[in-house]
Amino acid sequence: MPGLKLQGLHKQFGEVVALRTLDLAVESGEFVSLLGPSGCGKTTALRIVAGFEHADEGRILVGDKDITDVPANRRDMGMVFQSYSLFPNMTAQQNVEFGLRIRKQRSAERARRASELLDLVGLASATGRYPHQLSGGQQQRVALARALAIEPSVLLLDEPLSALDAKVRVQLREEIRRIQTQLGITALYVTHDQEEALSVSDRVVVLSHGQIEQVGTPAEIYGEPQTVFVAAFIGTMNRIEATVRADPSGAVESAGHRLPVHAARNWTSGLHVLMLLRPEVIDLRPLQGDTSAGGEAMTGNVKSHTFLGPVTRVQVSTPIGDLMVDVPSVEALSVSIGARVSLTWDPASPRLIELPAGAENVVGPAAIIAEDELQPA
Amino acid sequence: MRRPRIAPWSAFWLLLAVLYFLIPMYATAEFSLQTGNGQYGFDAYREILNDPSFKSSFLLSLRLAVETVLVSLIIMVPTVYWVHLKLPRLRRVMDFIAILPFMVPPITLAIGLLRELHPLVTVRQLTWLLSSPQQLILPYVIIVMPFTYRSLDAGMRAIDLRILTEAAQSVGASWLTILFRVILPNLRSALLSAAFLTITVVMGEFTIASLNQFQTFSVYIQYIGAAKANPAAALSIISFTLTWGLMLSILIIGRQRGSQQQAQIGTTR
Repeated sequence: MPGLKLQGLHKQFGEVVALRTLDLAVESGEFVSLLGPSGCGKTTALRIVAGFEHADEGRILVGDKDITDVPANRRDMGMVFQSYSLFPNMTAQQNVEFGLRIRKQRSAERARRASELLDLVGLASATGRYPHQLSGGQQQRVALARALAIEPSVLLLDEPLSALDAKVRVQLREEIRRIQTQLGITALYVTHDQEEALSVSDRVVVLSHGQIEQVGTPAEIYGEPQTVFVAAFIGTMNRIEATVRADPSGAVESAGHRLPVHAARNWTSGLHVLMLLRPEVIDLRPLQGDTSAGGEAMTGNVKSHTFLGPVTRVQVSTPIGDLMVDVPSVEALSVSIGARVSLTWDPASPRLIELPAGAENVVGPAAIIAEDELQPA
Repeated sequence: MRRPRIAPWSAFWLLLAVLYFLIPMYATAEFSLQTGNGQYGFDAYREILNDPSFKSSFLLSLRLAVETVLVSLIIMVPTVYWVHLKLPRLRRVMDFIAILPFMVPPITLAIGLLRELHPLVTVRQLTWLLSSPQQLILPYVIIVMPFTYRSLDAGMRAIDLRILTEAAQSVGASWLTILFRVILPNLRSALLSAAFLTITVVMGEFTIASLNQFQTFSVYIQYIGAAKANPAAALSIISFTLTWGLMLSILIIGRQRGSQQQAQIGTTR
């Protein structure tokens, strides 16, 4: 299986820049997701790879072969689309066979291959059914089988699950991953759903405004966001504007408070930074009366609760701003709104990102991302 | 008490509409069967059916209708497909162009065409077209364009043309394969209705054929109507039956061939 290389892809629609010199190398057999808010250029990138759009600049390579000028129908790329794309006039089997028919395969061979693939996607019993007789999830399975039937060099998936129910979505994404691993096929997956991208990918590419913000494994993207955008976009993140303190044990200062951060040891003191803290790493304890927590802890008042199932997200108003804290739901019952609580965290947990000068507006209430930050300009 | 299925007023209007269409037909049929002196018989029908001009004019119109259907579909299907797929902004322009034939009276079209084609009569390569009734196809394709365009436009709006095209492309289909294997089978009802309307229009077209001195079916009907009273009524009934029979058979053939797939076309997203 060949890998896929995008070199300096640039695409503009009138005044709007959809892709800004995008470079990306997908290893052979790797599952890479393009993740970003709508309008970030991820679908444009995929459509350029598929050959449905043409880049203004840049090249696309499959293995060592430059396919930039190869028309879409000779690229050998399997594609699964966002909306239902099965041919309504053909049965599931005929849909899967379509690409093989074009390749002039003999009918016995075609039928064998089609049933093999329908079996692979778990639809062995649906061969004779028409698309309108299949559920949304089944239709996408057939679409996947159709894309795989031609033994494509690269599998492209354009938000294949976004039209499905939550439950089917989770089930099908795991199956897509299983099939991709089993066949060892190189896959490029476009999604706006971070959970989807993080759960199935070998690597995730976070895009914003047509540019790559960060490329990394799901754990890196979640645990070590490199830019303010990634920190805001992936998961829920408390973002605290602070200044690095000259402190041998590592600390930053925000609104006159000292906050312990090991990472600060390696930073020049006085530097303007953004401290990133996941809600799940903060430890919340109720305080008696109007006391202050003292020591390393931050004190605040509970502002609101959001029940999320296993955990309850508690918003605490503190001197350094509102912080989101995830508390196991069974314990959250004892934390009423208005209660005084202390917040502590392992100093090894927070991450720091240097703030560019004049980037004041990046710090809002944690997890609340301004709409315009996620939308294309 | 059970409510009646059809409210009395609805039944009244329905009856009125039925009478409006049926009374003239009944009157025509009744008149066509009169043989004078209060006698009834099939004399008028015999006279029409034995007239060689009847058969020749009917077959001429039928041939022109079929040829017009083919030519207009060959021109319009790829055009409308391409506009939908690649030039959606041109759709408004197309909408406008498509109604132009309604705005130009047939007489204007016929005379304009005569003037344009006249100088070409001396070109030998065009003799086959210009000296035969075949030349009527040229204006006919134009006058049926509103119907063809509307049907195809509606049919293509109903399916996700772009996704189907791209899905076919991604597995390796060429443009011709996409058109014949993916797009056309999903446009069956649109194609049928385009063909229907074209046949109806061409079978009934009078002005252009008459000005060009070709004896098409409607020109023959007009001649009979002016010359003989009872046979004219008989001819009306015959042409009515023939046209309806034709439509019905197209409908049945179309239904049969697409019966397994016809149902879902409308529900496909």
